[in-house]
Amino acid sequence: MFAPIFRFEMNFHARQPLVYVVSLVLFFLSFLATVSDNIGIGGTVSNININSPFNVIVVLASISFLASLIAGVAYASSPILRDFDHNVAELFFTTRVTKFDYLMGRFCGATIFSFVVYFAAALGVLLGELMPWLDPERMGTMRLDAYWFATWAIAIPNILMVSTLAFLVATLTRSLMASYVVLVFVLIISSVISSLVDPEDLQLLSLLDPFGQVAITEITRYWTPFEMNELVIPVEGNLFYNRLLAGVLSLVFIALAYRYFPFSLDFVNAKSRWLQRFGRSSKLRADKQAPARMATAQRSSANTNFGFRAQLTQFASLVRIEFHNIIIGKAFLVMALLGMFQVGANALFGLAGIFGTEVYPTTSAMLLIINSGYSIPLLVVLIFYSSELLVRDRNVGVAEMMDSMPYPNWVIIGAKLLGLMSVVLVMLLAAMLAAVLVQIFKGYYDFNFVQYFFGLFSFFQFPIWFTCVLAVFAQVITGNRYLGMFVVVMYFAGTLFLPQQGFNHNLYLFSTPGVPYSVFTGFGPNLSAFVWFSVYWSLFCALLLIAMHLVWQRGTEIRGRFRWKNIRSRFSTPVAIAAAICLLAFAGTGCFIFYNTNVLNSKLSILDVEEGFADYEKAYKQYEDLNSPDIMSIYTEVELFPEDREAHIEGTYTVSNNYDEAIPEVHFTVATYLSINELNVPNSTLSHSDTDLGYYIYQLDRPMQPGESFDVNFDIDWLTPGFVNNSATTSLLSSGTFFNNTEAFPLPGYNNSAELLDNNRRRRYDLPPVERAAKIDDESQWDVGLVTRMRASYEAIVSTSNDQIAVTPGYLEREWEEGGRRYFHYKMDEPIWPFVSFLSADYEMKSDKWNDVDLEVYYKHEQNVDRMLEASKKSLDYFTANFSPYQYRQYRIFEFPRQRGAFAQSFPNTIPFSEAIGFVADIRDPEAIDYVFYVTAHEFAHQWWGHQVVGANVQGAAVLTETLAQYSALMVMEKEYGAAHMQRFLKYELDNYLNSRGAEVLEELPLMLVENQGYIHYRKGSLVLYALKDYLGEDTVNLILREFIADWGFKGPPYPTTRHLLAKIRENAPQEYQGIITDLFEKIVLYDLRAEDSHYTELPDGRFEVTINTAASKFEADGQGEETEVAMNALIDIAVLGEEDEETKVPEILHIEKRQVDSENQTFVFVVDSRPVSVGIDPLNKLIDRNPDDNTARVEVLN
Amino acid sequence: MLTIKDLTKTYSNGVQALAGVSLEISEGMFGLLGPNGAGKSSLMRTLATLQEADSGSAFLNDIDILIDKEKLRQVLGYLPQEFGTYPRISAIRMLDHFAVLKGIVDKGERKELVEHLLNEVNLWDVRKTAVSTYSGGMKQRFGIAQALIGDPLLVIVDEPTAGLDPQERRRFHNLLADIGSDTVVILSTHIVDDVSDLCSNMAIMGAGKILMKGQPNEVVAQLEGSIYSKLIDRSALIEHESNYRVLFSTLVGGRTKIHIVSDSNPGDGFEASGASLEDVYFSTLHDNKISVAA
Repeated sequence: MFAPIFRFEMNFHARQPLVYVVSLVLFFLSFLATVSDNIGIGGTVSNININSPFNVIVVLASISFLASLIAGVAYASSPILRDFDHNVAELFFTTRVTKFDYLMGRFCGATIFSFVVYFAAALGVLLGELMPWLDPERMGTMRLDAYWFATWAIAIPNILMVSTLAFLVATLTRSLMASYVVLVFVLIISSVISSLVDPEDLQLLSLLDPFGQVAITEITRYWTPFEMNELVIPVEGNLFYNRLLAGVLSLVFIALAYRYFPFSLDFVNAKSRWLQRFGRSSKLRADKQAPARMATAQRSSANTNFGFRAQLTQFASLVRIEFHNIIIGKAFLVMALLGMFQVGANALFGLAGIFGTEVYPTTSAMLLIINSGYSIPLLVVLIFYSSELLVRDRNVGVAEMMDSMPYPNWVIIGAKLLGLMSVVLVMLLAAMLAAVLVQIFKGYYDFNFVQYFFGLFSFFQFPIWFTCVLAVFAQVITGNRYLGMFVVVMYFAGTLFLPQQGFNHNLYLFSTPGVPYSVFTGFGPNLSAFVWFSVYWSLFCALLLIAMHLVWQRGTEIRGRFRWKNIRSRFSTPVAIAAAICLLAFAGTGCFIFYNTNVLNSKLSILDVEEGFADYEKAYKQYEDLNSPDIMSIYTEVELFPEDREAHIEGTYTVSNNYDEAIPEVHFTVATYLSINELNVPNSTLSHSDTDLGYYIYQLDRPMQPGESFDVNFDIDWLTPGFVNNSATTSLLSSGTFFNNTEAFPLPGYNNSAELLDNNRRRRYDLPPVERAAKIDDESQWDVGLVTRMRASYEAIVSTSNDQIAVTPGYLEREWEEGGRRYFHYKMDEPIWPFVSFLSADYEMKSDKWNDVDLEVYYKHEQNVDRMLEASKKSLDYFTANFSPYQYRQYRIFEFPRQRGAFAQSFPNTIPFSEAIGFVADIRDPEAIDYVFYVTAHEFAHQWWGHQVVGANVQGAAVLTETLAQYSALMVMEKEYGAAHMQRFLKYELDNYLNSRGAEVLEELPLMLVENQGYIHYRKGSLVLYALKDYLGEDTVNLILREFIADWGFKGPPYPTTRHLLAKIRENAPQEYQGIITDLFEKIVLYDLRAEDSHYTELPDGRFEVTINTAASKFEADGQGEETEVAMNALIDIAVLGEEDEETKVPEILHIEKRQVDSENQTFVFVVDSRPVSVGIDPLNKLIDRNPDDNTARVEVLN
Repeated sequence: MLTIKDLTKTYSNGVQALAGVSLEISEGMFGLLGPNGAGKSSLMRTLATLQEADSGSAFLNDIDILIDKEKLRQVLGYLPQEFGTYPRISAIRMLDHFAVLKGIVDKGERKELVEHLLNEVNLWDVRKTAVSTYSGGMKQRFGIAQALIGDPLLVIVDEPTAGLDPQERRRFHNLLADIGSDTVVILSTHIVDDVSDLCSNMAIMGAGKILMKGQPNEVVAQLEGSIYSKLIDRSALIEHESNYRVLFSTLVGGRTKIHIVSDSNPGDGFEASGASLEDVYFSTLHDNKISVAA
C-alpha cells in the first residue's frame, strides 16, 4: 500500500503551484549567484574560481539550508495538517493500509518535493557555470564531485533532518503554527551557533551544529585559494560524525513520529477533544453559577450607529479580538521565548570581539547584536502572522458572518495590521528584555532605555512597520496565503540583492537609511534622511492601505471582474480625496528627497564610485611619474562647524622643486565633494580643470627651476547640503569630527590610492592588472616615504564651536574665544609627514606624565582611560630604553565615533582611537586579552615606526611601520603580562593570518615583499618577529632596531626597504639561524608540528623524567597557496608544561629548550622539578602551524 | 418588502447557480425550499452582500442590495449555512464583539442587549463557554442571536436546522417564530417541515430557478385529492416507479411506503392520502425533472 499512498501524496503536490514557484525562484537565485559577481552567496574573492569546488559547495550548502527551511517545513507538515483540515484521514484509516505505509507514503510523497526544490537550485548553479559570458580567467574545470559532495553530504541530510523534525512536530501538534515554530527554532539555532565565533570552540561546535556549516568552516577556514580551487571537502573527522548525527536525528524524529501517530480516528478528533477539555473546564465555571441568573436589565433592541466614532469603536473591538487571538496561541509564547533565547545567546557570546575580548554590554552593543541576528527570525514571524491573521477568519468560519456586518473595510484592515504590529512589538520587547537580562548578568547596569526604544522600534535593521503593511498588503492583494508570504520574501531578498547590483536608492527599495548610534552624536547625522524617507514610505503605506480598502475581499466572490466593480463603488469621494492627498504628498516628499540625495548630493552608489575611480585612473595614471614640487611647509586655518557638519579650509603650501630638472606644470587632485573657492598656483594658468574627477593642471608661465620655491594658496569648503541616500559622511559630525588632510586638502599630482585592487573588477573597466606596490628594487620609488617624498613643517589654527575642543598634530601655542567660537593654534617644532588629522568633540580629558612627556586621553567613555595612560607609560619605558628617544613632548589619544570605523591611527603626537575598540573593551576579566593596552602600545610604537623611520614606497614598506609596531607592542605586552601569556595572543594572530589567506585577491607574498596585505604585515608579522626575537634574543633584535633607527631615523630620501632591515638582521644573527630567517621573511613556510603520546616517570630524587615524542613536517607554499613539502630542519621549542594558572588559564612552563628538529619523528627527554601536565613542540605557537592545538599534548605517567 | 428580479449567476466552473430568479417577499417568514445544489445558498449569499450577481436586481425596500451593500448590511441579520468562531473566546464576548460590529456602540445598551439575546436563545448558562465547543444546536442558537442584533429588517437564515436533533430544531423554530412581524425573514432549507411549521409564504427552488411559489396551505390545497399512497416491498419500487408518478418513498415499519400523484385512484392497492407540503415539494421537483437523492 506504500506505493499508492506515495503516489497520491505526490500527485497532490504536483498539482499545487508551490513547488514550481519555489523551485523557479531558487533556480534563478542560484543561477544569479553563480553568474553575477555582485551577488555572492559564498563570498566573491576574485582569486577563487567562480566554479571552484569550494564555491559550489558553499552555494549549495546555503541553498539547501534555504530549501530545507522553506520546502522542508512546508512539505513535511503538509500531509498531516491537510488530513486534519479536510477530514480525509477517516477515509484512509478505514482502509486496510498499515500505519507504516500510510505514514511513510505520505511523508516520502511530500518530502520528495523538498528535494525537487533543492535540485532545481543545484541545476541553477550548474547551468550558471556553463554561461559563456563568464570571465574565462575565473573558470576551472567543472567539478561534479563538488556537486556530489554538497548533495549527499550536506543537502540530503539537512533536508531530511528538517523535514523529519517538521513532520514530527506536525504529528504531535497538528498545527501549522507549530511547524513555523520549528522553522524559527532552526533559524535561531543556526544563528546562535554562528555567533559563537571563538576559534577555541570550533571543535565542539562543528560536531553539534546540526547543519554541518561549522564543520565545513572548521575544515576550510585555513584553505588557500589553491585549495579552494582544487579540493573537495573530505567527509572525515568532525564532519563525518556531524553528518552521522544528522542522519541519526532524522531517524529518531521519524521514529518518534511513527510512535506517537495515533493511527485511528482519534487523530482527526484529537484537536477537538483537546479543545473540549478546555471547554469543560469553563463549563464547570458556568455550572457553578447555576441556577442561571438572568441578567437583570435587558433590552431587546438598541440604537445602531455607523458614524466615524462608531467605526473607531468597531476598530478597537477588532483589535482586541485580534490581539486576544494571537496571544492565546501557544505558538506565540514559544516564538517570543525563542526570540529571547536567541538574543540572550547572541548577546552572551557575541560580545567577544578583537582577540576574543568582550566589549562592555552597552546598549549600543546590545542593539548591534539584536539587529544583526534577530532580523531573519523576526521577519519569519512577521510573514507568518501576516498570513495567519488574514486567513484566520476564513479558516475558523467566522468570515461570512462578519463580512455581512456593517463595518467599513478600513476597520478590519487596520485591526489586522495593528494585530500584526503588536506581534512584532512583543517580539522586540522580548529581545529587549533578553538584552537587559544579559546586561544585568554581565554586571552592567547603565541601561539606556531611550536608546533601546528608538534603536528597536524606529531604527531596526529593516523597516519593520512598513514591512508589516507590505506583508498585509501582499496577503490582501494576492488573496493567497503562500503567494502573499512569497511576495514578502521576494521583497526582502530584493533589498539584499539589488543594492549589490547598484540599485541602492531608498526611494525605490522600500527602505530607510540606517541610523547608527554613537555616544558622540546620539543617532547622528542620518536622522533627517531617516525622517524624510520614513515620511515618504509612510505615505506610500497609506496608499497601500487605501488600495487594500478598495480590494478587500468580502464574501466569497473572488473573480476579478467583480473585484473591479467593488473597487469602483468603494472609491468614494472621501477615499478619492484621501488617496489624492497621499499620492501628492508621496510624490512631493519623493521629489524633495530626490532633490536632496541626487541634486544637492551627487548620487554615490558603490558602482558609481568604482567607475569614478576607474575613470580617474584611466585619465590620469599617465601623470603618475610626473615630478611634482615637494610640499615643504603647510600652514592652514581650518574652521569646523560641527552643528552644520561643515568645514572651511584655507591654507598655504610652500612647495619647492627638489629635482634636478625644471617642473613645467603643477597637478592637483581634489576630492569631488569639496568646493574649491580658490586654488592658486602663482604665475600659472589653469590649463586643465576636470571637476568631475577632481583633477587640475596648472601650466606655469615659467617652468619651476631646481631649488625654486613658491606658495600655493587654497580655500576650500567642505559642505554637506541637505541629506544623502544612505550614509552621511562620517568625517564631519555634530560631535566627534575626525578627518585627515587627504580627505579635505588639494593633493599634489596623481593619487594612486584610489586604484581598484581587484583584477576582476579592473578587467570590467578595461584596466590592466593592478600593481599593488612598486617592486622592492624599483629605485624610482625609493625616494617616496609616507605618502610624500619629504617631511614638512606644520602649523594650523583650528576653530570649532565653543563647547568643543579642536585638535590637530602639534603643540598648542595659544587658545582663545572669538565670536562664540573656540580657536586653537597648533605648531609642530620639527618637520612631520604631511599626513595630519583634525578632530573636534566635547571631550573629557585625563592626563598623566612620564618624565617630561605629557600624556593625555580625550574621551567620552571613561572605563579604559587609565589603562591607556598606563600602556603609554610602559610603551615609553620600553621604546626609549630600547630604540631611541621619543621625539615629542606630548602624547595624546582621542576617542572618535564608531560610525567612522573601528581602528586607531597614529599621527605625530596625536592618536585618534575609535570608540568601538579599546574604549568599550571589557578587560575586567583577567583571562581577557588586554588589547586596549596592546593597541595603545602599537599606535605609540608608530611614533617610532612610521614617524622616525619610514620605509620606501615599495614592497615590504609595511614591515617597517606595521610589523615593527606589532613587535614593539608585543614586547611591551610581554613585559606587562609575561611570556606565557603571549601564546593566547599569538594564537589569535595565527588564526587570523591562516584564515585570511583564503581571501587573498592577488597572491600571497612573503613578509619581506608584503604589498599592503594586513593579514601578512600585522598577523604574520607578529608571529615572525616574535619568533625572530625568540631565536636571536630580545636584546639582539632591539639592537638591530636601534641601529636601524640610527641609520635611517628622520632622514630624507632615499628611504630604506626590507632588504636593509633583513641585512641588519642577518648581520646580527648566528649562522645556524640564517636558514630560519629565510623561512620567516623570504618564503611562505608552514609547519605541521605535533606532540604525540608522551609520558613521564617519577625519579627517586622527586624529579620527573619526561619523554616527548614529536611529529614534524614543513611545507612551502606559493602565492596561491599550493604547498610542497620540504625537508624539516629547524630549531624548535620543546617544552614541558605544568599546571594552568587559575586566573589566566596559562600553563606554567617547567622547561623549554630549543632543539634541532630534522626528522619527522623524534624523541626528547627532559628532567623537570615539578609534576608535568603536558608537553609540547613549539607550545607557544611561534611557528606557523595550521593546527596549533596539537602542538601540546597531555603527558601520562608511565607505570 | 424584498424584491428580486431576474438574478442570474454562473460560477467560473460553469455551474449556473441562479438562472433568472425573481421573487417578491414581504415581511414575515418566507421559506425557500429546495434540494442541495438548487442555488439557495447562492441566492442567500447574494442577498447577504457576500456574492455578486451576473445580472438582475435585488431591493430591500429602497436599498439596492447589489450596489449599496453597506446600507443593506446595516439592516441585515445573516446566519450562514456553516460558521465557526475563534477558539477560546466566550460566547458573551463574541456576541458583544458582533454587536459592536453591527453598530451598537453604546456600552451599556450593548451589554443589556447581549444579555437579553443570550437569555432569549437560552445560552445564558453557557455564556462564558467558547462557541467553538458548543453542540450543533447551541451553535445555531448562538448564530441566530448574532443575526438578530440591531433589529434587522432582513434576516437570512441559511439551512439552519440541518443536523439538529428534533428537540433542538423545535427550539430553533420557536426562536424564528418570535422574530418581529415587520422583518423579512428568509429561511432557506431542504427540510419541508421547517417551512410548513413556520412560513406564511414560500417558494421552491431547483436548478437555479424558482419552480413554484405561494402560501403553504394554498399550494397544498391544490394537490388535495390527487395524492395516493401504498405500502410495497422494496423490490417492487422500480416497477412502481415506471408505472406511476412516484413522488417519494419512505420506510414505514420496514416496508416501503410510496406517494404518487394521480388524477384518480389508480387502484392497485393505493389509498387516497391527504396532501402535504412534502407532496407539493416532490411533485414540483418531479414536474421539473429534478431528481433528489433519497
